[in-house]
Amino acid sequence: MASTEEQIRTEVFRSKLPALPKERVFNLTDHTFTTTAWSIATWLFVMGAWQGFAAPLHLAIIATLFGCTVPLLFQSLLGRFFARWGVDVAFGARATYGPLGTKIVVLLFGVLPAWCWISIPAVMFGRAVNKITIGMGSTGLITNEFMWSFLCMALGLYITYKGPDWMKWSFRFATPIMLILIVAITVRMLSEWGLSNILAIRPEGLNPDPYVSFIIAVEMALGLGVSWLFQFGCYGRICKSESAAYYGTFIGWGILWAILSIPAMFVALVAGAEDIVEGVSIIGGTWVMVYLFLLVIANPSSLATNGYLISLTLRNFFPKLPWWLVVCSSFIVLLLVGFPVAYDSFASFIVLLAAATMSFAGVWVTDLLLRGSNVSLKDLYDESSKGGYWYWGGINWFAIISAAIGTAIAFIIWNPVTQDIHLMGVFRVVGASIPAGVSAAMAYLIFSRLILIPRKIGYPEIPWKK
Amino acid sequence: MDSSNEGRLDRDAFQAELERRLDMYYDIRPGQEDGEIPPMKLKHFLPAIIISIVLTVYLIAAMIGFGAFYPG
Repeated sequence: MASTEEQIRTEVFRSKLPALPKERVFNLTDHTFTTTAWSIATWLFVMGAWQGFAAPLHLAIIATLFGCTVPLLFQSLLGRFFARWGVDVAFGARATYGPLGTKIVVLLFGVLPAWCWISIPAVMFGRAVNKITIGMGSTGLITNEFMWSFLCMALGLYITYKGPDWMKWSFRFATPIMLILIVAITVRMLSEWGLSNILAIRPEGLNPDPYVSFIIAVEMALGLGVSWLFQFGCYGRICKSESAAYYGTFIGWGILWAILSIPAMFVALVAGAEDIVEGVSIIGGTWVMVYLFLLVIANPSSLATNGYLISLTLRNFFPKLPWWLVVCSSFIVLLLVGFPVAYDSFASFIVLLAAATMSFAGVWVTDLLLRGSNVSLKDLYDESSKGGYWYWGGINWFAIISAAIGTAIAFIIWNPVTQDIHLMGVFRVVGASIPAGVSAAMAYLIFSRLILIPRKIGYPEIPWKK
Repeated sequence: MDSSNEGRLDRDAFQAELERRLDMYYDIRPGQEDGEIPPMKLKHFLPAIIISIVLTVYLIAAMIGFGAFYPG
């Protein structure tokens, strides 16, 4: 039987208990390894490929570096916030959205997209093994795409079940190996195709106008950059310092994502293929096996990290559910493996996400800055109407309205689904998601300054500031 | 203690532990009692700010001089 201390420690990683400093497990290196392991998976290569379809190499790299990294300058403040308080997003977000508002917003824009995301490595792993085994002349069960997707997911979710201690040690080995393999594949591609040749390739583009296609590439990268919005809590809360929480995400989800997606741009430009395995197969059979080995490590790793986010969030919203059940809930995405919507409609999925999530990011970061990242922890855990973050009916309507204003502005500028551009002049200069985020932030700033702060709605007394 | 359910604390013990932690955080800045969580100061943000400025300038340069960046 586990001791009480062990049980408490287990609960810290699987429930709403705030993590105390002595219980934190991630320093900057461990956090960066974890976020990098999260990044390195098929989604990274899919993203890189789409950037390669949209723009020539030089411009695709600029778009990806900017879009993936710069939003994190602001968003990573959330990581710092969660490290300071040791709480998960299910509670930390209440200061901004209210208890009921948090449930709605996080489930809709956090958990649901996360399920779509994790379908991508599962789908792609199954497809990669399927292609490779058929290419090797195999037939029967061993070529079954669905089976490999399931196995990939099962392995990833097993690590999720074991929790952050397992992840920390797994990624101390797995992440450096994956980095070495990607560098090796990149060097091999460059020696085969030549950098000057790749730089000279002009892709067909996602729009007849190459400049507009480039701006769409920036939009996709921004969509990726803000897609982390509801994911800072699960690992930020177990970081040993605020810097570890901030830079772990800035480096792993931002800079490294952008850099590591470059080989997929090569493949898209040279082979015109979305799937990096098609490019790898051109440079030789041995390299296909190297790539497959990379996927064997990378995709379950990403499933594990993302699975933990989903599991912890669900457990905090529905605390009666056993841990194994919330972990296994992610098997629901096997439906998406059967109908791979997120994977096959990646460009639409990512820019649609950008339009909505950027607005919520603008609101949340503004709120954090207004509070100086300080909250009353007891009020975060108080779901009654007397709680300091109750707002109106448990929802901070001004946060929702501000985010809606931002999203509406993105849709006024362009339609992310059909990619019809309504205000071409604006789109060519600033895109759509940046105006969305800025206008949502400005709207929330005005509401807060005029109404929330003067009336102390959502601004309870901070105990240690007395 | 209930050890049959994945090592979970029973409900009362869990609630007591939660209250203890909330009380602990109530009157003090986070982390003081068990050892401070090192806070970030303005200077710690400088690397991220510099990288972001460089990337933004790089993007603006690409937008303004798009033709020069486009092959051919």
